[in-house]
Amino acid sequence: MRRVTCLALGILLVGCVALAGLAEAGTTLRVVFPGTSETEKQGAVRLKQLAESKFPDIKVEMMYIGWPDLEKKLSVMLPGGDVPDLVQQQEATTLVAMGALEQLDGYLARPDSALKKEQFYQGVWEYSIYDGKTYTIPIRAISYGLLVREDLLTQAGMKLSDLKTWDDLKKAAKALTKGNVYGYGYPLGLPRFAWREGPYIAGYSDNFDISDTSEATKSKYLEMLRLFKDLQPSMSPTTKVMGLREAFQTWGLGNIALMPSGDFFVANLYPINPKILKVTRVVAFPKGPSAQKPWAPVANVGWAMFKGSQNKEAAWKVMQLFCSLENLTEESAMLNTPARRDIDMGKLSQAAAKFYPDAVEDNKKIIGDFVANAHPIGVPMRKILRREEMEVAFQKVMIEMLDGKLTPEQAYDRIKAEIDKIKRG
Amino acid sequence: MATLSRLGHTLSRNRTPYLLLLPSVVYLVSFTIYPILNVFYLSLTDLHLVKSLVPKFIGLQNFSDLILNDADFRRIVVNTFIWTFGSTALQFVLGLATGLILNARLPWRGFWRGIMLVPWVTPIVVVGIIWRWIYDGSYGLLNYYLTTMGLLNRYVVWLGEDWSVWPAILLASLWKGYPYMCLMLLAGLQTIPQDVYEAADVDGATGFRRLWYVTLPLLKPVAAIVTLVALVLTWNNFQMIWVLTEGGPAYATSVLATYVYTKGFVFFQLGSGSAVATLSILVILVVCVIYARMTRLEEREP
Repeated sequence: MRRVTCLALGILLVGCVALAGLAEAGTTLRVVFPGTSETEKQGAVRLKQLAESKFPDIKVEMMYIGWPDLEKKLSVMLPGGDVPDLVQQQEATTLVAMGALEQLDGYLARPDSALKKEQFYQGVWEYSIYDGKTYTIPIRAISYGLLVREDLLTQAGMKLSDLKTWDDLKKAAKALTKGNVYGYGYPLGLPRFAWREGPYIAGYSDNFDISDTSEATKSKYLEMLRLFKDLQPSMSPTTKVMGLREAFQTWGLGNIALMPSGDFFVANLYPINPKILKVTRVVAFPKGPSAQKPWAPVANVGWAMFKGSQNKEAAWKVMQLFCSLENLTEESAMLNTPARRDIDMGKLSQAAAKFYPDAVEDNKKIIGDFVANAHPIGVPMRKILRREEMEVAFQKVMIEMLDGKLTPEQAYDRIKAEIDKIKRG
Repeated sequence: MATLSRLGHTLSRNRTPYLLLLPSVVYLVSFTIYPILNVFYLSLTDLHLVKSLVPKFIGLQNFSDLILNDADFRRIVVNTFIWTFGSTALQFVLGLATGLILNARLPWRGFWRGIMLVPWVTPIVVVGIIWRWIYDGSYGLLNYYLTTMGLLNRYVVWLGEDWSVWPAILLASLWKGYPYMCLMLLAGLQTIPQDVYEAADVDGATGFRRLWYVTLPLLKPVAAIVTLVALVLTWNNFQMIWVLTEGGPAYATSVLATYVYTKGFVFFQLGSGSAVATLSILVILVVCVIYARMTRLEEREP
């Protein structure tokens, strides 16, 4: 009898201690923060401190992870019931399709909500909407354009304003290919970039999306494939094994003159060679033959809440803080172009000086180029379900076409067959 | 009933040893047997995280899709054989040669034996990154030295050309893996009695004949085990290829291990990915059985 009493008391004691511990800890929010640079890692630490100082009853547990591993990690955690509270997302199509994210329209409609749709650039906000429902709150815009080595272009007797059409682009790429410099950079080595850092951006400049293989886009698709075939002599022999990191390294060493990319370019280039930013400009990717005016792909990075979160109210409080004007001024200075309209560009430049002290003016100029590009012609990128599969199939065909094994027409047939099969599957 | 009662009696009589075995058994069941069985089960379902989190039983459809409709899969199986057998054969040849040298009476033999292990103890990711830099098509050391010596007149993209990508990967794998082979074969060489060599000397066997007729036959049991282990390890080796090429360009250097990862964690096709994993397990099992038969491993068990 005494033994049973002791055991019961013991269990009671352990239970009380555990409950006391929980009460003391308050709410613990698990936040998934993806990033690929040291700057982003510092950003994660800053956000944790910001949230914990503003809300002392909330503890933030930051889970820092590389961008390429984000979806892979979540695809293992979520089905296993290990659900975090918040995640920073670039494209939430997969998570939305998995039913993993909380719809945010109800939170935004609350009278006390500090966040309103009107505070954000329209094109950037639209990227957060999936089937008419809002799943993420934008924190930074991502816009894409054509990086240009202005000094080399001038030496070749051309100006930035000369890059208006694909013919101009081909002419410039050819003229700029000299010695160790290749006129056009295309990171074909990894599926994600083989799809986006070139064909997708070029497709938008011809007013179509390369996941669309309908009959209506066939002529534009062929135009895009022919463009890449024509640009090939201006590409580095390492194109086939070049990922985005290698492309940035090559740009940093001064060996590429033209390359489409996004506004995360500065954060990646600065540690390699800040001086190259002085001679780098960004223009809209030149207009395709079938377009009246080019589109520039615009996406965003935003905060999303998990449907399975056990702390939704605390998560919403923290989301509002993370998306506040003050915080986003600081964050936009660190990476990318701003998502909020009300961010003061002067304050943003001042804040950016902390992150890019050796390229204050050059960074300002490049962000200005991206902003000037994104807002007049920015069109949200399409949300493409099973894009990862399409990217691999697309890369395979592009390699064969650029190796001379396929004509653009044969490449089109193969791409169409592969993408249609994925869409059907 | 009698059998159950006998089993119960045995268990109660030998309670302590069984209790001591229990943690290992629980560990094996939880982390090896259950996951393998679950992979078999998932391979018979259509689980695709983007479509539905609830797996639906579809029988052998994933297997038939892979074998009949997936052109990449056939290429990947061929790649896996090139990778596994190429890597193991090269490691064996170099490991044996190094083992023979290190078994001889050399000055500073301990030092050479230690330094030989450096590639093996270096983390595989570090080795992969180093070799990627060596092979780099723009700034790589290999291109630099070969052009400086006049052996090349232009830089080669070693990991991007069809003719060079597999030799390049196999060379990197050889460098990383041969010390293990050497170490094991060296241990085997040290067990060969000296009097056998003395008898061979008396019979006039020297040099290559001594190696062929004395050393290799006596080394065969160790060599068979070591190559079997190397075959299995290489078959499942994911990291080296992933760090060097991520299985690309396209699927040019994908092997079954990288394809499982791509299917499961890039495309979220857990059903189909599990089918690739299941086939991979079955093929390597068959390879191991054939190999064991060929080398008559089972006859050497005590």
